[in-house]
Amino acid sequence: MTAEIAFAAEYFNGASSAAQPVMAVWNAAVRVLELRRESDVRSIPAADVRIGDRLGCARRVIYLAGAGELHCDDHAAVDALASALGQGRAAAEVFRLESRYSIALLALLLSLAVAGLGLRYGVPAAAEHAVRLIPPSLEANIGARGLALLDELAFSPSTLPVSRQDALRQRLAAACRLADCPAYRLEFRASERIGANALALPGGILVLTDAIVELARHDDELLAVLAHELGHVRHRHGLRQALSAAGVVLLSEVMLGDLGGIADLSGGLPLVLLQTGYTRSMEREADAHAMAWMLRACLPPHRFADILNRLDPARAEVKGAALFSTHPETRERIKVFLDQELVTSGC
Amino acid sequence: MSEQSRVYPFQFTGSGGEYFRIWIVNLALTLLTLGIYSAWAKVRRKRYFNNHTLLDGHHFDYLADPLAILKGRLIAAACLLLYVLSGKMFPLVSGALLLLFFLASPWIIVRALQFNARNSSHRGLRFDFKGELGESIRIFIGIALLVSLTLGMLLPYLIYRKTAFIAGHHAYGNLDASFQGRVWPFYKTALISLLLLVTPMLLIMTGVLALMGMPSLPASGPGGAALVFTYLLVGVMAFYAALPLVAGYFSARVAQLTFRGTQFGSVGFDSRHRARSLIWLYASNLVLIVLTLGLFIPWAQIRTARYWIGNLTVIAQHGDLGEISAAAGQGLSATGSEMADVFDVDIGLA
Repeated sequence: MTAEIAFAAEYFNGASSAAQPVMAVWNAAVRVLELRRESDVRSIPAADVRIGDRLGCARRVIYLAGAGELHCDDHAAVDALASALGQGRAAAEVFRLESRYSIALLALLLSLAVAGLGLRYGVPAAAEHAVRLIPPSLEANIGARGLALLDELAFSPSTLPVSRQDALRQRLAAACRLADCPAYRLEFRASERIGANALALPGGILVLTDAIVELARHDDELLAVLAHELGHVRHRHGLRQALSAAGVVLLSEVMLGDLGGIADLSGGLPLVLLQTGYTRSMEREADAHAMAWMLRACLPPHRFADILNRLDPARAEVKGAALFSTHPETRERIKVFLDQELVTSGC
Repeated sequence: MSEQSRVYPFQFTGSGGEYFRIWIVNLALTLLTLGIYSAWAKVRRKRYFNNHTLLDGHHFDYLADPLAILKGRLIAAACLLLYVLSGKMFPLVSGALLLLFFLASPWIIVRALQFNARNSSHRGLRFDFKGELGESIRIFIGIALLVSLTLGMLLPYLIYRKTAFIAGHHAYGNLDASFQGRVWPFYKTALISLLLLVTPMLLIMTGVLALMGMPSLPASGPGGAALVFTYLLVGVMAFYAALPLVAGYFSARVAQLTFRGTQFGSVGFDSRHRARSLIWLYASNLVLIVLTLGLFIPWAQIRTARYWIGNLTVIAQHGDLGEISAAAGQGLSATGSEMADVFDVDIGLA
């Protein structure tokens, strides 16, 4: 075997708090750790020796099953003992990682990257899968509660005549007979805060504001807007966004703390509907749905572009599950609908 | 007696740079393992602080099995998920869960204190927590309910009973702790804290009154409104400025009351924690954490530990600390096997 492993240590017998200075010697031949104090020798079989992990510059502890523990500062000797016992390889690796600033810097960059990528891609992907686990009845419930909350915070009852509301509902129902629609419910609300706008809540609640109904010069324009919103409903975007927001909170809990902020998490999903807009890819998905749906329902696609153009950009710029925001892609989005001719063959 | 009594200061030897490396490497490993490693990381973090806390030259240790912590975290995460998902959709279910959690809290608190104590050791002897479930129920459900019924009048009493329960039922080896604090100082501390808060609140209330009186004073015009607004703003700012000061004062005083009232046999404590140092510590930590976008957190934790531990001393009435505990005889061995309990999970409260 290699050089003898021997080191001075303080021995605590596990029954009293008194420290006894001992000399610990590894007897490789019989695989026992001998604790020598003057003429007194105590032998601990290898199976009863567990080497404590090294942690910074803290003193090292060796745990002796049923017989107390040794404290010592001679890390080299204890490491040699650990390797003689075949212990602590993973722990030694972790210690090496923790010892260098270069590794710390790397860990910092890695943490930032993982957090960033996790938030950007991981959470939405997980939310997309989680959405499938949520039954439609639950989704409808979230949507209904979301609407109730919005009624409290941002909406007031619509001032449109009931006949006008019914006419629009019938127009949508008629279009849905031509083009297939997910389950929906059309609501009308007045809102100072979000102005001319439309939104889709989980479970298929579609909301048109009075202002957007008044802004439209043709009912087909409103149907075009609803086609876009039905796209959000079909792809369950609202729920996906709500779950993503919950995922972000969960991820930050994992990163930043011991699961302690239970109260912070109860902020509730419905409020999240107001706070997080849809992602651009979701908007593109909803646009694609609108286009296909309008063609099937025999509606000219330029109607969507017409009303988009007319929306007052200042009022449309409300962050939320709102219809449009003024990001640079809007012009591009409009162009697609203007370029598309209505194929009249089936109509 | 005073001739024989000896004072042992606590020492904290951890350093910010060293802990930063441990913290960030463990964070990266936690993220890479999708959170699984967080249990091991927690043991390393707790061990770091315990190992760098010295009393009479000997360190403290933390011996928890990461698997027990992982188990506890999985249970906590499942409960949390259940609560969040039921949250706003089924208020009845989430209400029932909350009630269940409230009813279970005395048990959870006892188990968490037990887990933490039994996994902490010093000089080869483990600590223990011997508080009973019955008393925990009386305090955390009975008195807690009475506090809300009496509109907070009993809050200092609740804090007193909590302190007595936690401090008075720990054990080291077979040396049982006792808590001899009295309830009156807790009331005094709470009253002074309230007074410190009331001054800015009075300012706000005067502002509100002035604002409500506005319509009857049409002559004051927009200038008067601006004045009232400024007055209100000052009041609100004063309130928020007073809040950390009051928090600093309150935690320093409660720490003193807790430590000075606690005895392990003939071994007592003294706390030199001061409100102004605590306020400075917390305020400067907060500013530096914000300025460094969170990077200062490990240094802040080290500073906080150094302050709390460095201002604590042990007073042994007669003789040497080693002898005193030796006289305590057979205790819970640091390598004892009491930990094989399946319900020994760490809930992360202590």
